[in-house]
Amino acid sequence: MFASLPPGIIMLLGACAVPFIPHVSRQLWMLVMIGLSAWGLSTGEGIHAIWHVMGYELILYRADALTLPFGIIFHLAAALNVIYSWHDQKWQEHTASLSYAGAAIAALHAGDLITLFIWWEATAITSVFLILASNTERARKASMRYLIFQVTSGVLLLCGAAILAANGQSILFEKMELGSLASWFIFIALGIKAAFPFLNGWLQDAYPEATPTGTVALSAFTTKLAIYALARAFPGTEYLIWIGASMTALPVFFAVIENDLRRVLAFSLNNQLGFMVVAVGIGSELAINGAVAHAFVHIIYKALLFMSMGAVLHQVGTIKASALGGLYRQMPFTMVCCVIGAMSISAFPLFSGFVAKSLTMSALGDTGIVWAYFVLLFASAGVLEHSGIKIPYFAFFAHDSGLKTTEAPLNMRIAMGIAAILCVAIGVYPAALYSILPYTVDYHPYDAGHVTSQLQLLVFAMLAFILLIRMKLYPPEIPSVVLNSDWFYRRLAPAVGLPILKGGMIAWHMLVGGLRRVRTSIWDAVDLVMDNPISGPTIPGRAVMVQAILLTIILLFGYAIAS
Amino acid sequence: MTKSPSKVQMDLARLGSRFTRFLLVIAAILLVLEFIVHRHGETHIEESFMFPAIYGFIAFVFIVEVGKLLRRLIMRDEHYYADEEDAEGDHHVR
Repeated sequence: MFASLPPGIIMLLGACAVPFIPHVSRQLWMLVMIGLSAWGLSTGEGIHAIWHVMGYELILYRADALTLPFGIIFHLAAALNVIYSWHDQKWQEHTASLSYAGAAIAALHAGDLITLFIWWEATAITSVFLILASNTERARKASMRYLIFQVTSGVLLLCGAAILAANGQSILFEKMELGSLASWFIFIALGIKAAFPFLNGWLQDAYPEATPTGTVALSAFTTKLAIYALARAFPGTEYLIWIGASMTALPVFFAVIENDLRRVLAFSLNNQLGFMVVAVGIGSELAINGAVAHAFVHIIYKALLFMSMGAVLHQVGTIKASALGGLYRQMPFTMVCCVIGAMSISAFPLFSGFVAKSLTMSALGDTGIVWAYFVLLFASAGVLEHSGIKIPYFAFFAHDSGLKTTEAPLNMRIAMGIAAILCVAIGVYPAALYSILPYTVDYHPYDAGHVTSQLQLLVFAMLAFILLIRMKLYPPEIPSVVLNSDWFYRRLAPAVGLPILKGGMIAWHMLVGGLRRVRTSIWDAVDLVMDNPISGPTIPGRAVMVQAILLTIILLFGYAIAS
Repeated sequence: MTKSPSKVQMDLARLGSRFTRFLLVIAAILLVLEFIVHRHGETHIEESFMFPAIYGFIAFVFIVEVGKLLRRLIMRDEHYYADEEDAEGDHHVR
């Protein structure tokens, strides 16, 4: 029955029922929906559902080696999110997160650009409610900025598809060459969702404004859907190496000084996307495997980190580094999970990040693009700095903040526990992950040289941290806002645009006023002549005056043309 | 402000020094391993003595120092956007 129903759609249908089901059973219902949808993945590779509409063939369900790993991890993330938000009794957020995950999974299986566009926009519209659910003025404004960016991305995607369709070209969502106008539209559309430099403002702006549970859901889908789409459409595009390398390096500096720990994680998310974008840019089989493996493990450890910070926010009510510290005794389980997430993202051997990132680094080494290799190596030290050290250190250690709290609710701990176990399990036994990657590649991350290299990098970078802390050279956390690319449209555009707009309005009013004055003075002149007749005692009226003036003008023109 | 450190503060200090000692031991082991294990990097420079360690150390310090400089440039008061948003919000209500 579910064979021809694209995975994800059942979750969207299930989400419609969520508001009408009482708590607890609602959570079970959601898990069942995710389970049924995941069952659909077992249908196997091929095109399973086509919809003929208005002369177009919409491929609703296409499964292949690239969609499978993303399909698995998206379902897993959706299930983890249900467990993590089990305690939440309100239906709104659950409906949004289930339909958001469903839309993202449906988008994965879209075989043509129009179907992709529909689900692409559906992820935007469903996810915005996760930010709105925070129910603050700040979140409302951030969510609108988020929505503008997401919808713009979809519109650009549609522009690309429309140009292709108008030219009679195929609208199948396949590998394309960057060059034509349509391909650039699609490239930028994917670039917005993949948070390319200067298109990334929405990510750091909106994600940390969502609810503790909402951010976990947001972190998994949108950006990784974009990575999937890039891997599908633009593998081996050299621009992506440049773009990806700058994505790995730049957010690192912002993350060092950011005070909101969930925003630090948002910068870190951007940096991790950079690794995947570089891998897609390389485009070799090893590199695409690297991008997919990285996306897979990243969803788990990033969710774990966001879950641990969400748990702190849920328990303490703040996630500002300047207000936190010393929570390790009160939230030991959350602390351990956070450290596991931190070690995974920093790519410590025996943790999931290591087995995934190694693929990309090896693929990059094979290409001989040395500068990019060293940028990524540098960014690896950056990941350790902000996600590996800063997150756990400032939340759970640093100093005694005097905060009194208790461990997170049981359901949160279960979700974190599962994610933490997965992080270690994949790190210890990478063969399971490697077996579901798009290409069969014989790769062994654990050789003595590789492990010692990575440990040297990490351990000596940690020693640098300790040295900086001891010498009091490490910058203290300060309650502050760090400007990011959203500044351009939140501050610069209004600062430059509003005066221009005001100037334009003033100029317009002056013009209209001026014309009005000219008209008045003409009528005044007419009245003057009428009040002081020179031709006789009576004058016929204004109409005749106007005719006389017009005739005079025509006469003058006549003379001008004749001469 | 001279306040006697709390119990948590003392625990944290003890934990910190224990962790430092642990890291130093690992670092020493890595130093010894450098003579035993042949690290084959993706590039030749990477194979020079203790390269990843030096690169990691310098990169870390560089990131933090640049971060400090960046603070002067792009760090603003916590209410940088909020002031404007509140004012805007009021305006909207009117």
